[in-house]
Amino acid sequence: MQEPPSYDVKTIDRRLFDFMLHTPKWFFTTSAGLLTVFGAGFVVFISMLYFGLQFLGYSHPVYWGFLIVNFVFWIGISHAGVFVSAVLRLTQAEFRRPVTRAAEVVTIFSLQAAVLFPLIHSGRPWRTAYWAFPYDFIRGMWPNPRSPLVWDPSAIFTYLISTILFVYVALLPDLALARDRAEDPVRRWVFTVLALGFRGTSRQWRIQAIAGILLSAIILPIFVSVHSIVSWDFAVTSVPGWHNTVFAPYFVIGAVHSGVSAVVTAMIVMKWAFKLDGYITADHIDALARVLIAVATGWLFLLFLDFSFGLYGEESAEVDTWMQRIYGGAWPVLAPIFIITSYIIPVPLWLIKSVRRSFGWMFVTTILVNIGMWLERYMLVIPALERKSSLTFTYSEYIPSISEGILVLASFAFVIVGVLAFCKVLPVMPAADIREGALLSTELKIGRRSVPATLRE
Amino acid sequence: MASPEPAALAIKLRPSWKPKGLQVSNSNVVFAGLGLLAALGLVMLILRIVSSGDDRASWAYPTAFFMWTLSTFATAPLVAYVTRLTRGYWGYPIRRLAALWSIPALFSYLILLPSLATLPSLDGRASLWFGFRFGVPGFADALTIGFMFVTGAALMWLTSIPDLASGDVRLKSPITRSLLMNWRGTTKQWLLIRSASKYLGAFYVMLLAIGTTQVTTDMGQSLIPGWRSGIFPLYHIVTGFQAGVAVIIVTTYLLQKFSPNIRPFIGQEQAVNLGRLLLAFTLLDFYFFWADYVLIWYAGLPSEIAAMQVLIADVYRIPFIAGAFGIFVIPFFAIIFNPVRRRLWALALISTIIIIGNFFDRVRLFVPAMSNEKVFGHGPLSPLPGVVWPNVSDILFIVGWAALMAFVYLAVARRIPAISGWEMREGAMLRQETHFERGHIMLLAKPE
Repeated sequence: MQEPPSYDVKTIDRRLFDFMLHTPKWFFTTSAGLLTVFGAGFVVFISMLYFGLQFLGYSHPVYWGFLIVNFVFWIGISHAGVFVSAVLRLTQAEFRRPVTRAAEVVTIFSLQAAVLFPLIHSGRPWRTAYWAFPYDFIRGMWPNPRSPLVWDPSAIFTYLISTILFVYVALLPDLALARDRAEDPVRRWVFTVLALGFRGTSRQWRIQAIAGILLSAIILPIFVSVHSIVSWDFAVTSVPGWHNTVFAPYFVIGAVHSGVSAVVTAMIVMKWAFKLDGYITADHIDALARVLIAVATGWLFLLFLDFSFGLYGEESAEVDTWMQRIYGGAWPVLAPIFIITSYIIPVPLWLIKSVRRSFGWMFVTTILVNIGMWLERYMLVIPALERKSSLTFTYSEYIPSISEGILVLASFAFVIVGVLAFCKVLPVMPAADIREGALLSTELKIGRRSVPATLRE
Repeated sequence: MASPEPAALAIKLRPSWKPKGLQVSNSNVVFAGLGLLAALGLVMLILRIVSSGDDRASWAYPTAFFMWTLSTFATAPLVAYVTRLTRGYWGYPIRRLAALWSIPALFSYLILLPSLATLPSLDGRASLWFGFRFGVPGFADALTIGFMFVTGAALMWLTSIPDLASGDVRLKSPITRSLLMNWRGTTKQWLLIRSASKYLGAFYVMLLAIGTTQVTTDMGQSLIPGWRSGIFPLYHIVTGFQAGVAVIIVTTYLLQKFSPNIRPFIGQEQAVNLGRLLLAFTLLDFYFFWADYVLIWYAGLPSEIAAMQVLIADVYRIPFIAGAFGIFVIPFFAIIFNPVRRRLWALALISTIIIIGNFFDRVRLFVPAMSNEKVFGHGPLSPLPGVVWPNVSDILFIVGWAALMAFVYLAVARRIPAISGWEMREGAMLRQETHFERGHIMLLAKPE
């Protein structure tokens, strides 16, 4: 694989810190538009507080609608950060360098977006605070450790805190660089505090590198456990269509599929927006596309297992749920769209090298993947509730409301604004990592050819 | 500090160097001993076919043995494929010795066929075939697994051609020349080998996944009413990957210890990287087991609980505990320590425990299934069946067939070099030790 061209240190610093120091006009217009969408979502939320959850279209038997679908979707997107950052760091994949910061930042904001949805879904979010703090131990009430709704916040907040720590440790050299380049005294003071006295001594570099590797190893089980626990919100119940042991790995691999696709989308947008040619090259998206082929094929196998073992016992309630997922309501149209956008279009295209190395094609295919994966979560959650009871007179069709759609768009706006704000304050790529990559890349002469090579300890 | 390299790479492979078939001291004695036991295994198979007819219970332990070979020897060649796909530099010396296991695995097909013939009708019980009845499950399972074994053997053969075609191919017999693709080492032939090995490898993985799903369901889950687990085929595959890596480690250690022409190529980097793979799969094993168990425990459905009582908690508790210790407890608490992962002999010891643990795990999964008489209905299974212990004939069968696997491997390794010559040369070209700052460092080339 070709390594990025080796820019000198000054060029790397100037390019990566450019957006922090100079604000283009599109930043203001884009932020204004996104904040408008977010504001619309906030208005819907306030309306929901006033009118109740029926404002969002919820009623018997489907009480988990778009809000929970979005919760699962954003948890899935958040898996990209750890996969790209930790797994590729531990396997010493050189193509990770420009990608890690973007992936980690998408993780942080998508996790926050995910956490918002159960709070909104409670209808009275402030009650979740005073139910939990202080907990009613005096009257003999204890948290129920058997409930996935206790496992969920434990896992998600552990993941959020460890990701923030992970990002922060990787940020330390860049914070030090920002401190040294800042002209504004307020900025300099802020970066001085955040940089924790990082001066680039050998001992500090060694500790920073070891901390990064240790955190990468520690965060991996958390990464697997988070979406497994979210999957168990569904699977440990006896609801037909949900009670399947394959849910945990199915959710995790689906999360990696949608998350890495989202990171590729974000990288391509960043390359165009921040003019990072030479940092994000065709080699990077080519490598990520190959990873996506393997992950997507694994996901398809797990979908096949879910489908097969759902119908395996030939229980009427399970069969009804799967028939609803394929033939009921709008699913004769949505089900083919789901499978076509998640796998049938993207993966065969990714097998073609010119497509993998084309930014336009990769942008389109990764967007399609996330449309398909959102539909997949919708397909998982809603039809099972529409056929939850074995009493057929309780069967119903769920119709999403416009207010829910606005909340979905608002969540996307929230994440994009968060990422933009981060990029405005801190460098969008790890400058130290990029410098290290440039330093370690070289060429090896084999016969008449010069082959890209990496220095490795 | 550069990690220590195998001696052969450090001094660069000489142009005149050619890989040779396995040479082990006192190998004829070992070979003869294994051959006798292998013959015993074949005799036990024939006796079983003749005497038991379609009595499914008598094929319980042979089926468990087959599932064990599917997990161990059939999965070992994947290490070769994956390191080739990911261009893992440490994998060059072990790729051929991993791929060679596809030939012994092929022999285990002889156990599968008579076992499949004893499966009962699909009517009245859960199955993956739903309403389809033509050729299922026996013919369909045999076809998929057969294709898988043939693909593995073809992959091994294809990647051995450059080494086997030493000397002038034109002088060999027509059959040999066509089997060796009239190998002359042209660019086109090299490109063909590379592409074919990539696609055959992917096909092998696909067939392993689908074949495992089929046989573990038809010879496992569908024979115990109430046992419904979507993750079970995946659990079988992942524990198989762990056992496959364990087989590679044991093979590497034994060949490195007893074969002078293998020894120079195996170094600490193989141990460290195989150890990491083993640790990763050990953790994954626990994850898949837990994902299965927690759901069934939590939901508490009577039919599923009864199945779990047979497989874990009650009837086959002893093999379950033995399997759990062998697959997870002992390996995890050993491999997390760096000194263990750096020493090939320590990894080989742990790997042996894993291979034995994997066998017990297959016993507790497939012996109750194949010996269960009440296969119809959807559960719960009541009363629970009793444990079926192995008799002398089963033990002789297992010992004989295990020896046959080793015997076939050694026989093949004598003819096909266990170290891939062309890949070792490629690896030597793509790496160099060089100075960096005040130390030495490795330069790794990764051509497209």
